[in-house]
Amino acid sequence: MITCRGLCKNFEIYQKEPGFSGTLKSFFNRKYKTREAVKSFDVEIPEGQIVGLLGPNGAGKTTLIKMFTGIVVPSSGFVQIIGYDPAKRDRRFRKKIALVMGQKSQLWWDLPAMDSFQLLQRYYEISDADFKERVGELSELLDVKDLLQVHVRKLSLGERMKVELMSCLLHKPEVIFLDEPTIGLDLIAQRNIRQFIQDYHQRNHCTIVLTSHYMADVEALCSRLVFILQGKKRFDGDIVTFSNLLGSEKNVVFDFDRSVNDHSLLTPFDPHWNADCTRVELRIPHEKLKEATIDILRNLPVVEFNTEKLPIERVMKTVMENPDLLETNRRESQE
Amino acid sequence: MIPRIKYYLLLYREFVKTCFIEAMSFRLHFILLIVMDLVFYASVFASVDIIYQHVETIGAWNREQLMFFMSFMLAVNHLQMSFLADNYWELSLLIRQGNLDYLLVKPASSLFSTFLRRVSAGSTTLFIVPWSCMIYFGSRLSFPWIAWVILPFLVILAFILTGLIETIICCSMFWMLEGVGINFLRMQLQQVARWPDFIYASFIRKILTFIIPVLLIYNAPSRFLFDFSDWLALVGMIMAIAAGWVILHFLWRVCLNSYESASS
Amino acid sequence: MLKWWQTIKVHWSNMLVYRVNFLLMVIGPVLVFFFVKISLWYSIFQGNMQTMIGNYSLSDMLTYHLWTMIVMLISRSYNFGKLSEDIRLGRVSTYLIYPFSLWEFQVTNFLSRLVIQLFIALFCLLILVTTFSQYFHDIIAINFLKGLMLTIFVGIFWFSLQYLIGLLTFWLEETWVLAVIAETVIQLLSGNIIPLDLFPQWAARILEYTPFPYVTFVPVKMIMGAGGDFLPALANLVFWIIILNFIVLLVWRKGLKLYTGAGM
Repeated sequence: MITCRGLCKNFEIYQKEPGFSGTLKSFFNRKYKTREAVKSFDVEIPEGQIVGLLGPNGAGKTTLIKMFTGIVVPSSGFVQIIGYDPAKRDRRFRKKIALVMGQKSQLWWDLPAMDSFQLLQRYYEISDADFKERVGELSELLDVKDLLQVHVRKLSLGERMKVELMSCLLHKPEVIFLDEPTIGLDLIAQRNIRQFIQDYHQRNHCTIVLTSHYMADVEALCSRLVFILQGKKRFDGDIVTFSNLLGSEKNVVFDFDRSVNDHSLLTPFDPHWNADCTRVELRIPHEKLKEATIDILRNLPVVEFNTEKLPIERVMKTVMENPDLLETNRRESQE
Repeated sequence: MIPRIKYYLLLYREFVKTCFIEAMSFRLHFILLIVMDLVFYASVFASVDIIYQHVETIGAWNREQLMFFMSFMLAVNHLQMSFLADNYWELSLLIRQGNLDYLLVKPASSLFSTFLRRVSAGSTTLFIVPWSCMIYFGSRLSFPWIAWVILPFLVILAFILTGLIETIICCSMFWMLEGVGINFLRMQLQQVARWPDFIYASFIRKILTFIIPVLLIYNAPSRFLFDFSDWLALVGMIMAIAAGWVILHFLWRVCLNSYESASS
Repeated sequence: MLKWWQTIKVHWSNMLVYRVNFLLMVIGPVLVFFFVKISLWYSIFQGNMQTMIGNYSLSDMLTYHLWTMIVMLISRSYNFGKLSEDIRLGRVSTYLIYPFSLWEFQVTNFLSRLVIQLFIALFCLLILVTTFSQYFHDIIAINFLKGLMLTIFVGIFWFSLQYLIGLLTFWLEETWVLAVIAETVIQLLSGNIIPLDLFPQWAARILEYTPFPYVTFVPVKMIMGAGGDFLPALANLVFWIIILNFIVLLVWRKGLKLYTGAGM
């Protein structure tokens, strides 16, 4: 369904020295620098899968999506989506894909959503019967029946995202690209959107590529995770494997009855303290758990503690701070 | 072929409908747009009229000829303002904010979606003004019946040429940090094109006829209507349209290939 | 004082980052307009230095338009757009909080532009006067200085007018239409296209009761040594500036009430 090999994209960035003299200099002579946004990216995504593209800001996720949808032409490499080369921008290809960008809207701001839908109906040549059915079905699922006649600029962010999603699904696309669909939404709105995407995917078996900063999106929706850092693919596998990247570590939280000033005992376990040093979160390897816990209980004024599996956010954060962990893991799994 | 034409006609009808609905919710702006156009028309005719109170001819043209030329110019300008201008202003925003992405993903010609999407409802309502002036001054020049038959086609030809030239110029926005300035460049070329070509020095006239053929837009059809034996410029205009069409399609492909899209 | 200087430097930086836009939006239109007018009037006079139209010879008319260009280059402001955006996007709030008021920011904007535009105007003047000296009258220093003084006040007038148009954003989503209407009306009625003493008598008499002649005609004639007494002219211009700024103050107060009341 989606295949890419050696995909690369470079951008020219213009450089300017700070200050007024820098501005004057650049008026006459501009300097440019090449930035490699995506480096030699390979991936194979079969039909019907939901894949999460994760990574920090500037990692290259959105650039990848843009290359997959034909918005941006790759600098080099091969990419094929449902048998088409996106850069050729074949009309039949464009009828089968959909794109939603969390930070930009395709709906007309000063019109009710329904008017934008009717325009989309023309674009995608959807018959009146199909259109009526789709609008009814999707507005029911998303619970937006009453919002379709309201001007888009009067909708809340969460409502806008729902109608935005609806607009991209009217033509029953085979591949859906969601670029940060839950960004800026409150927790309930995020949950609603996730639930909808899950239900929709189960009913329609389309392929979905999702980019997000929120692990909750990926955990809820994706069976597979592709982690990108500085334009390169650093991990490609299932979520369980990713969450075990740091070994089978446990997240242990200790509460103390007073401020603890001597942290030497806890330093080896990547401690995260609260503001007044009465609570700490540690990452303790499974094999050292018993010994470390006993040590801490004996030497520090613990009132309470609990143990849980390391949350994926922590894994993500640690991996972003120490990308070599991914290398180590890959070498270990090869041995 | 026919199904494709039908597709684009239906799509365009939807564009017009959405633009009118949107315009109707901003009534004051709608009225102000009409006032703006009327003020512009009045200023053009007043300027010409005042000049002719002091001279009999400008170049070889008398008052009626120049007034007809201005009416023709305004009729074409009316079409341009109604069906193209808003899209040029919108393009710099689309590129800057990255919303052009959505147009590129749609299964319609991106050229069509980008440059014909917006219709200025306010401007369209003033159709009657420039056309009435054209008919009035044309009748004072005793145009033969054939001139009246071909007049609408000449207006459309001029509109196509001006659209092609300005769209080609707007393609440069893809390489500009901020494309708003390109729109001003476009308007400056319009300003130059608004007067008969004989007012310009030979060197400038050649550049603006053969290289950036803005002087053909209003001059070629007007001169042909004044004197059917003066057909060479009209042929040049048709050739410019053909060349412009090819150049535009080629250039647009280049633009899309180098489009970098605003990062999210 | 230091913060004013810092702000002016920031304005200059902003102008130069979008350098092409600056040339196309600020300088270009004036130069192109000058070029078109010169071509038109040269053609009207048929290149004949002896012909008289009204009491203008070709040299008089070319000199007149040289100075209208210089006056335009120095006095034109384009600040309504930014103010409009600031109001629409709710950025006026930040000015209300910062220890630097919106008014002070706009005035530093004006001063920074004035300096740059003065330099550009003098540069253009130098080039044109040295290259085409046979067409233009000699410059008399005292007249030039008097006219320049008036022109700077015309700059304040334009600035205030643009400011007023920008302030109307409190009530109107898009004010650019008003700016275009103002520009079109003033261009004709200030004598920018045709000197006011070539206008019909009845029109010229009505215009005496408006600020329009002071925007272009009076400063230009002052530089040419035919503008009458300096002090009454300045007094009239200052009178109109005061009226305009009084309106600005009223509108600002009303707008601010609406703005803070609505919690925009």
